[in-house]
Amino acid sequence: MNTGLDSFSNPGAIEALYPFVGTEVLLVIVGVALWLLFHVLAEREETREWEEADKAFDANRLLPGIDEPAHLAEAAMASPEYRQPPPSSTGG
Amino acid sequence: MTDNLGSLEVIFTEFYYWVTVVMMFLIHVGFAAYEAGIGRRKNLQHVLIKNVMVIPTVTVTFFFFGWWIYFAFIHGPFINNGMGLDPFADGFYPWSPLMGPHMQDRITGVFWAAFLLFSWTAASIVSGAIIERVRTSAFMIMAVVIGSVTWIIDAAWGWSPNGWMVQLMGYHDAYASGVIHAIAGGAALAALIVLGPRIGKFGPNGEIRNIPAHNVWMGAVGLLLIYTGFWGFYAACNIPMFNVGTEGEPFFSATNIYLMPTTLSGITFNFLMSLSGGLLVGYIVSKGQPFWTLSAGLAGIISASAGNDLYHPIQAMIIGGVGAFIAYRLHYYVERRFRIDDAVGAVAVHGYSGFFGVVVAGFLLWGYPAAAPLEGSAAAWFGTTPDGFPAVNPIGNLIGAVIMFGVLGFAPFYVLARILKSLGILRVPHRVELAGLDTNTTDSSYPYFSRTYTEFELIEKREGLAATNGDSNGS
Repeated sequence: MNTGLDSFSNPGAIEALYPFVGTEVLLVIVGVALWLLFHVLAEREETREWEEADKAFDANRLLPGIDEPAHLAEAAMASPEYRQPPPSSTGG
Repeated sequence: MTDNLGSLEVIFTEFYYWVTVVMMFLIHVGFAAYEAGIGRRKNLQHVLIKNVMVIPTVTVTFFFFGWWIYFAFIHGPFINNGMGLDPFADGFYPWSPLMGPHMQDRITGVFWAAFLLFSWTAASIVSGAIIERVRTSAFMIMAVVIGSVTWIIDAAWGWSPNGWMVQLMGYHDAYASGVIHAIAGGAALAALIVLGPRIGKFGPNGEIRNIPAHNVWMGAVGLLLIYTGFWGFYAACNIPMFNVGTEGEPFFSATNIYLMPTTLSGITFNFLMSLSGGLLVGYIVSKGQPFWTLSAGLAGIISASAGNDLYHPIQAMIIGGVGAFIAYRLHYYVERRFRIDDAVGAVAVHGYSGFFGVVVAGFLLWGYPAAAPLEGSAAAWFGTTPDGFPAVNPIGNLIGAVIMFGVLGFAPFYVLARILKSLGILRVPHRVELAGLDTNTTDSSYPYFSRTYTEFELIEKREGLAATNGDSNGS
């Protein structure tokens, strides 16, 4: 059984070194398919992550971030300087 | 590979490019450190991994189609004398035996890899500008587009001795001011326009708030690592050893990518002097602020890169200084006038400096041979040298700069960003951005350090909290 080369004794005549020469087109098709699958999976997982995160945050009060003390967020909301945000300039 | 001297030359060239790849890896270590340092703590891990994912996404696609594009698209296609896809590209289809270990080929892999590292750089430049609110999966699509499609088209056109921009316009851009930096800056600008600023960046009365970096030292060391990796970039842009004489009277020299002579020694002078010109000006205009001083050094190198194969070191120093000044001023002007939130100044340091660099090279190297004329090419549009080579000139380089920044940089990315936005997959949800991208899924990045708030974060929460009422989905 041999998947490619069985001798290196005539290096001048050797070309491709990898096994299964002749399957390159198939390899490319498989590779491209896997690459596209990666993007689909990455997008799905990220959408799931953000939907879960968005639901976890209370609509009226931000759940404290990882290190965020709750009293500071509440103090910000209670502040006399609290005001409406400007018309949205965010692109999202 | 049967005679000693010939084999030595081949294996030396192979090793040369291999080493440049290793050095250029440091650019990406630098980008990772830089972006993670500039971003806020609450977003750190997502920012970091977003940047790292440039590596696999651009690598595989550059193998599947990017490398072929470089060879296939050199004539336009059809721009130069009606020539279409170049048949030489047939050897670089992804299924070609040369695209793998091959006993008779010791160059394709390392040359592919050197170009691949440039591709990563183009994508990483865009990455920094859009941190803290772009979705990772959207960015990965952007990385593929710029890394394996648009920049490599511009390289086929303007960074190959037979490229139509070189043959017809005398376009000269030795170390990629336009070919990498201007195109990436243009793409970043387009993405920023569609994506929008970070929440709280611009106040209701037009005020611009500074969003402090969470780790200035990490940002600084990131830039220093980018400088280090940039040495590999410069070396990789050269051919190490080539006969620039004739068969009868050989003369071996290093050359630029256009196979025109230069020396590694000369570009070493110019790299350091243009870096220094940028640093000196950056220190003055930013009053010694670390981020801008170091970024100005980078802008200095980029500004002089188009002609650093040939400039006098003091010319390179002055060009570097002027380019850094332009980048600094334009960044703040565009931010103020158009409300563009570029987190790391990428559009300025790469886009504006790169554009300026290409234009300057057209003037300062006016009349120099751009490349040997290609058989079958149309005549150069803006003049030839006495030997009949297309001549470097200001008009050709100006048009080239516009093509790089605008046609191949800005335009396709504007369309791409609009498509991603219309699909609802461009930006993270509003509440998630407020709380922090890392909040829901990861542990704290600094679990043993006490938390601190910045004044900006308090403003952001006050204004952002109001916007969350009745706005449950920010994308």
